[in-house]
Amino acid sequence: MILSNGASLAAIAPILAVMITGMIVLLGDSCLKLWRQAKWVSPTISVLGLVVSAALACSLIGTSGQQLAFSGALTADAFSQACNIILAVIAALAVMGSATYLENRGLQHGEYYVLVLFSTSGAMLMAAASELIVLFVAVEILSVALYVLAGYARTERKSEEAALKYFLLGAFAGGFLLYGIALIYGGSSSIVPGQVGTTNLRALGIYLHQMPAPNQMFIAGTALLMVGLAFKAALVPFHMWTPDVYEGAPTSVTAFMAAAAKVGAFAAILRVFNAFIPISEYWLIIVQVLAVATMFGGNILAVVQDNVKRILAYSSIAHAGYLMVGISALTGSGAATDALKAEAHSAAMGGITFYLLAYGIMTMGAFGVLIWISRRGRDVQTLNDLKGLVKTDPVAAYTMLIFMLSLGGIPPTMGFMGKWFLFYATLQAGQLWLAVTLALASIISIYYYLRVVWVMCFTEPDENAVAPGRAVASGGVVVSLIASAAATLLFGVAPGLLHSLMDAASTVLRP
Amino acid sequence: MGNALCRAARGTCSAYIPGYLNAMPSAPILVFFILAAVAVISALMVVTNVNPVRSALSLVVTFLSVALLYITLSAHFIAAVQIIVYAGAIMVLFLFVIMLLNLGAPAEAEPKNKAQSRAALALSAVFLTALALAPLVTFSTDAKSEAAIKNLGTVSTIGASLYNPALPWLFPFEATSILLLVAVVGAIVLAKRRI
Repeated sequence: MILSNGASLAAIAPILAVMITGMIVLLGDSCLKLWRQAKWVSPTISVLGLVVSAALACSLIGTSGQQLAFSGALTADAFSQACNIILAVIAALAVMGSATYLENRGLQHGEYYVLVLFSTSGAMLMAAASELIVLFVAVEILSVALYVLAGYARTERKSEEAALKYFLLGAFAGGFLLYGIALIYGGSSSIVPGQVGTTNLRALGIYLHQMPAPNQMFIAGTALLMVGLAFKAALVPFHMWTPDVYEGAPTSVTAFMAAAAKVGAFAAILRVFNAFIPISEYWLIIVQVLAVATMFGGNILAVVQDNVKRILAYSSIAHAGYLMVGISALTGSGAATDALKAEAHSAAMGGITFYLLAYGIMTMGAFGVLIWISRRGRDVQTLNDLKGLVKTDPVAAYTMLIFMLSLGGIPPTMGFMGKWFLFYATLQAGQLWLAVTLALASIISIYYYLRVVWVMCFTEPDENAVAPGRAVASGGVVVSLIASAAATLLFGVAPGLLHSLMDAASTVLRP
Repeated sequence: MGNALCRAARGTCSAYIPGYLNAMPSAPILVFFILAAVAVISALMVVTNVNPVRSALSLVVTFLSVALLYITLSAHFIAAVQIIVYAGAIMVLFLFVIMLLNLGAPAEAEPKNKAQSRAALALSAVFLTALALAPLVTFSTDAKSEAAIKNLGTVSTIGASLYNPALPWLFPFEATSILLLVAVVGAIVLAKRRI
């Protein structure tokens, strides 16, 4: 269905709500003295805006069909609304978790929340983009805000280094992305009848379906686009920036970056490669190689780390690998009939959407625990800081245990169900070897997640560690931790509750 | 664009610049060669000059001659953007940084890194070969109507499509405002002494 421009604005209301909240916080914080002095106003308004956005997205998720907004620039379909919900939840958890942490580090400013809100809106736009130009602008909105957030602790060298590294490599990756889009535009001129070229994903999907014979320029463009997106999603071998940036950035930023940027990047990868399914013979093998390299690279490198933030960084790389398995399953390359291919496609779509939510929640949770036990002036960084946590702060230790089990994919948690859905979709797609690889890689990952648990539970507290005694519970972090721990367990036991979310993904049709 | 240029140089570019390239060297092809020579020579001066300010100023000449080449391909908008963004904004930034860091001409030539210069030579050779072979590779592009190509890059065509609510370009144009806002907020957050 093609929406008029007015109806388009209504269809992207969740995204607009986040943008408008960002502007309100920006203006309020800089113009109103009372607003600025009361430190709680900016985070509260931000969370309210995100809740409104999620509510709007929930009310719009029932709409069926391809909702083409702004003459095809965006697809405001149920999948994009599902991503809006996931991103709003992640951002709300991030905002709630940051307030006390920022206060402790003397970084409490309204601009922080503005940047978080704007980068959330960028990630939301990535999930809705059906025009590659929109995709590029959305990637830049997300990334520019994240570059600044990574360097938010301006006085610390590590934070500055993280921001600069992320910025330089990110700008380079942006160049790849743009060059890819330009080549796709040029290359598509021979497959689009009567046009000079197109960068509209939906149009490309239709034309490629009719004539799956792209020229070299188009293939080169697709490859460059893949490089650009793989950087944003931190796939091996484009992952080099991830551990350094995650380690250097303030922990609250790392949490948000790990969750939101990955959801946005994977929503975009999904949109792009869904449109390119008709030419999957050209890219499927590359996606599979990336998936295997990312799963094993991330997991094996995580094993040798001693820094918790780096462990979680490599774990986020590994999770990107599992999601790439889902992208490979989209094609249904090994399925015998067209009906089975379509079934594999919808299973993979649902699986990826579920996994994005699961990954977002458990990552926010794991970093949330680190935020919780951090003290004024000292960040929890190494495994040493977690030693004997079960004795000094049992609640934090058991909460961390839930997230570690979930990240490792052990039932009854959301992480297990997410992996199960991806595994199932891969089997449906007839890619047995990839499913086996996924299982093997997750077995490696259990080692280092359980190592964190072991350090927490079976070692004596270290005198020099950051966290002696119980943490002073701060409202926001506690709420965000309770919410994410509850969701991890609840949806791990009853994933059927998220049925509408997973069904929403099937509105993205196989071209 | 590069492809179009190499075709233009070979004179087989009937789809892009019709007629006159197949004839004897006429005014447009002379203009092309003059501009190309200026661009290449000034680009060489960028890397051979010892003084960074002179290098930067030679880069301006390269940018300007490339901008003129765009005009000969009737890509007026890109030409204007090339001058405003590259020759204008980015070069000002370059010169500003050079002067801020006070980089004069180095007193004496620094000791050369043998391995690096060898690697650079090898890479240049590879690129040169690739460039020389480039005309042999033909991308399959359909010949488009002359009028469509001719008007594609003019300022009025781009403006008319950018601000047309019935086309999908209006939304990304509007979304850019958020990007600029983020950039402004970010620059202030990172650079201001006290927030």
